[in-house]
Amino acid sequence: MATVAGYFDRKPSSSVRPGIAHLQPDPTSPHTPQQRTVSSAFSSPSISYRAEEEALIFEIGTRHLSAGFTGESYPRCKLGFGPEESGRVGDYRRWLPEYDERPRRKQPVETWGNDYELWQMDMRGSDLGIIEDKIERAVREAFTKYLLLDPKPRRLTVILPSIMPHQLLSTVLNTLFNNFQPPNINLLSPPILSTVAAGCRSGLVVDIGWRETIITSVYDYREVHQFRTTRAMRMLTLEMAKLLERYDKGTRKEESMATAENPSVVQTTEDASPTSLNVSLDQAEEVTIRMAWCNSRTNASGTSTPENTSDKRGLEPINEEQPNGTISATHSTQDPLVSLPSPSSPRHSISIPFSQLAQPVEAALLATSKRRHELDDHEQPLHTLIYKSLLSLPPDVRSVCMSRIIFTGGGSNIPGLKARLLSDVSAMVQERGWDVVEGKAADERRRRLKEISSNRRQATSTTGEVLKEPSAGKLGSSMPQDTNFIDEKLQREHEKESKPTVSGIIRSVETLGAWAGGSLLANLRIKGVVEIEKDSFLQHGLAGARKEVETNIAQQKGYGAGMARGMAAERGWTLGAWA
Amino acid sequence: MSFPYTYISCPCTDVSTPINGSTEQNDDEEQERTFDPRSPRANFSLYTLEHLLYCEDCQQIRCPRCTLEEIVTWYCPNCLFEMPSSMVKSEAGRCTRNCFNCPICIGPLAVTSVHPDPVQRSLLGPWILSCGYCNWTSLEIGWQFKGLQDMRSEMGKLKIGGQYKAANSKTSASTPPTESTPDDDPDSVFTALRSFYNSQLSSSNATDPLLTPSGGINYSSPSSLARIMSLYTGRSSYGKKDPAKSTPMRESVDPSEGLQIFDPASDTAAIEKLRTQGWTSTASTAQQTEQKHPPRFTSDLRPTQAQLRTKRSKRCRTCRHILVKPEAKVQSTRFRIRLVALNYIPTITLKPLQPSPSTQLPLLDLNALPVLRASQFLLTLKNPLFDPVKITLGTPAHAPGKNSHKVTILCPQFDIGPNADQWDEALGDNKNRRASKLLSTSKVEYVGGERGKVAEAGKVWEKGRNWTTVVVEVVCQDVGEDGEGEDVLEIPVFLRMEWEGDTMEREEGGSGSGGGGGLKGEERKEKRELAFWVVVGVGKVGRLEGPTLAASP
Ligand SMILES: [Zn+2]
Ligand SMILES: [Zn+2]
Ligand SMILES: [Zn+2]
Ligand SMILES: [Zn+2]
Repeated sequence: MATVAGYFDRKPSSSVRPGIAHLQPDPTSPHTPQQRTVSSAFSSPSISYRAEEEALIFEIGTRHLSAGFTGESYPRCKLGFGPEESGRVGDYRRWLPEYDERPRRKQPVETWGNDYELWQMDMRGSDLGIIEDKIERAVREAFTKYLLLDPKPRRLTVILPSIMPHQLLSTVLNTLFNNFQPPNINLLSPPILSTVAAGCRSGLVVDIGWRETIITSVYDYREVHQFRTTRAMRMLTLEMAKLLERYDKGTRKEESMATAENPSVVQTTEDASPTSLNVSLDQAEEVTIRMAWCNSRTNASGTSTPENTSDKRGLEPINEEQPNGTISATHSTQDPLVSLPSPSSPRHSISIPFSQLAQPVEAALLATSKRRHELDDHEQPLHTLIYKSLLSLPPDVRSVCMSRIIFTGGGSNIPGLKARLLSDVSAMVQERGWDVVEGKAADERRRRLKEISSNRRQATSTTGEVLKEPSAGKLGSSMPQDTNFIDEKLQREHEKESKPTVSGIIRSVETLGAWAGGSLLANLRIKGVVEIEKDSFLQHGLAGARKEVETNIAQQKGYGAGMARGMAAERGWTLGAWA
Repeated sequence: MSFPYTYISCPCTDVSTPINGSTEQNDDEEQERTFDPRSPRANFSLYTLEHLLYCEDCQQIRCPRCTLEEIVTWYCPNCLFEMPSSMVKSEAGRCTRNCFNCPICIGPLAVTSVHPDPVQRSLLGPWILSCGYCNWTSLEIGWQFKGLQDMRSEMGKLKIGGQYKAANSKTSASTPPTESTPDDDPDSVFTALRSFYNSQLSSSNATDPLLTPSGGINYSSPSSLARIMSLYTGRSSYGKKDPAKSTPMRESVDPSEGLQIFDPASDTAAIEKLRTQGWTSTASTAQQTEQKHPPRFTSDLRPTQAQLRTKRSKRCRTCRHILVKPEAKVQSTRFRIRLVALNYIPTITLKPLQPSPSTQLPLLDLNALPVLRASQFLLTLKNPLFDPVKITLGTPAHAPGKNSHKVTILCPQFDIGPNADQWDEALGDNKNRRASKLLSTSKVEYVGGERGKVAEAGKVWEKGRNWTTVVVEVVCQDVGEDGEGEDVLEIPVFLRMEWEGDTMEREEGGSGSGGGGGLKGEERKEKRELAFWVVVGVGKVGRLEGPTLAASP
């Protein structure tokens, strides 16, 4: 978590009055114009353009490095950390035609695909040297092939998950400072950037990443709360691999049975949870990226949830109704076989019913087959966790965030998933409201709150609020809310100064993603609070950086960085969110 | 790459590990270390000889990691146009001429006219792009170009399907929020966001631009609701200005400001397309990565502008001397300076020493090395230096890995003659000439072949003018049924070379600062040494056939 206040405060000398110094142009850049007043610097961005032009943005995640220039809308390159990228220089075997058919080692499920990752957050038994090797190679390739730059020192903004072990952070910084000599590194954390790149100040950022889905509530550019679950792309890709393996085996069996003149072919679903897999990560990932999809709520839950249509009118978002309805009509009758290249031999193909390609999402991200109490805290399905995240917020923050659910990360590209999560969450809200307590009394209270909130809604609309609602995601009535004097006062203040804000309905806002957010911010010359100078870092390591930031942060706030790491963090966590 | 092969580990990254912990104190520290070619880190230090450079000043091997690069020229690989450095960034590192690549197969695209009259086609458009390899044409996405002059910018305005993007839709607030279509490109959203933030920052009160006031709130326990509430109180008690006057930056509220509300319709359409058109309609991940903004379907792939390449010079990271300097001209493939390691360290080759025909053993097959039986290989080192070299080879008795194949170099210490050039040879004495028999790597050699020669411990197998061959004996263990990688036999060899070199007082480039203490202009011999790990890929271990082979030497 993190960040919170002053996340974007600039570092030097702003300790006493952080609010004012916030946005001064970076004094270290040589082209900074004379005027130091904030407004003038911003109203004439062209003056300082050249200085910023050379600054770079790196986003480093478990699987990829994305690198590019400040002010551009997309990174120049996205490079992997997998085995393909980790080979020996001069080894051209993978360009040979038979490479695709090389024998692959069966991989145990627990470590399946680990060699595709830059790091594991569990540091036990990991060699930090390899992380250095991988980053160094990827960054060098980015420079020579895509950024087409000389190695002269440049300012660097690095987007890193804020919850990472110190050693890891230190290794990353060390590698960058030692090999590429940036004068300083500015650290930014992804959820804030995703919010910025959505045009919002607040929101619930659902980052469906590789190892984890991280749900962060952001309020006024502060990370307020964070929840995490292991239901993310790795698990999904693994499920896809199992699916492929099952059908691959099935196809081969089918062939052998056909030769044995046995026409009755049954798809073998023998081993639902194998301990090791032949299908490799790149194969499964290719299919996941291209073909994985997610059923709509109506299709998926057809039998399990009672269709309570009268209630549904009110709360179920409209997106469930129109286009998906047509699908569900055709779906049962039409479930074509999709022909995919066989993982065991690229010259053959296997056929999988289209509906099956939605199953990995159900199993991995939504945990449809599991009951709630069977799941540990770290393996909550996404919709439950979104609901929980919202539930944990104070009502006014919640009503702002629920109307700005921002999906990002690899999983946000799966067609149908966002709509599904939104309607699942709506259903949970409908079912339980925002009460932690359940029962009759709670029901009654809920009813009353509903009335209040609908009154309130009317009131706001008379003040001229125009809710530009999209066809999607509109709820018939707003969520129950506790009212709060301060809130209301604040609310009024807001309305005076700003255009009306949408709140209280479940709605999702698109984001250009963390990288683009970093690019925007850096282009606007706004820095994160954590800026690390090269000399100081190379001299003292993280300890030096800590001292440096301490002076101004200590007074501002203690940034509780990672919530997951609990309160132990409080003291000395002065590396901002990364401390 | 098939067997055998050789990689060299650049000493700049030491990934060797002590053999038995670090308890033993030994003068020869390196000997006590081993290099595991199978460790993931090893891959990052291993290079084929051709990829390595050599710094004469540091007297050390240099790899891409321990060199610094400087770009000499940016050019387009298609048309060889040389791009001035000032344009490289603004053109996103792409060629500005009509050099485009196929979105399907990344082959270069040709510009062809589709004018109805065939006679006019050489002169008049409209023009299309077409791929000579996979037959893709820009007509598939509805693209035709009016002129040849500025296809690039025309392309920037075209949407998939051939319509032109609405001009200025991003900036003018009057434009009604159009429905988001799959074609709505992120670039214009980005531009809209950026101008929105810019306008907010310039208009809003300086105390509270993008970020909130926040004052000195202690926010260390973010999960607590109290903390969150304190934000509000914080606002009034810490804010320097009257809160009523401060105008916090607002969020963007419509598409003209970059706001995009999620619309499930496009997802629904995508699912329907996946269902009806299947796998082949989707763009592969390889195709997607070539695109600025990766699309899901092949029908949304756009031609890409050719990516520029560079010619680069390289410097030693330690002493900054130039190691490689290419001719600046794009067409030239020559170098002004090029200190490749090939000219400084021995080439290492390996070939099987086949069992004597009399033994009736099968010939050695590198893709199925015999198990539990000794096989012999000829390891040849060829010296590129003009000075004789003394070589010491060290190898762990067992190759790293759980299988621990037994490895013995029968003669680990030997000399290699100098690489005297033809002149020296012609003028030199007969003895020298006789020794310079040609090294043949293709000839099959047998145990006891010519003159009944057999491998002996401590003896060189064969020696030429500037090369020496020694025998390596290997006994492979049974590797069982392991898949990829486990059955490959790679031998780490620690190579130390010592020689008497000329000290050079070089004039250019800041004089040989290093260890050379010689007087100017005078040549002196100086003892030199270089040591590094080499990985020799021998072959694949075969399967254990039958019980009869169990008898090993
Ligand atoms: Zn090196
Ligand atoms: Zn060109
Ligand atoms: Zn093509
Ligand atoms: Zn040097």
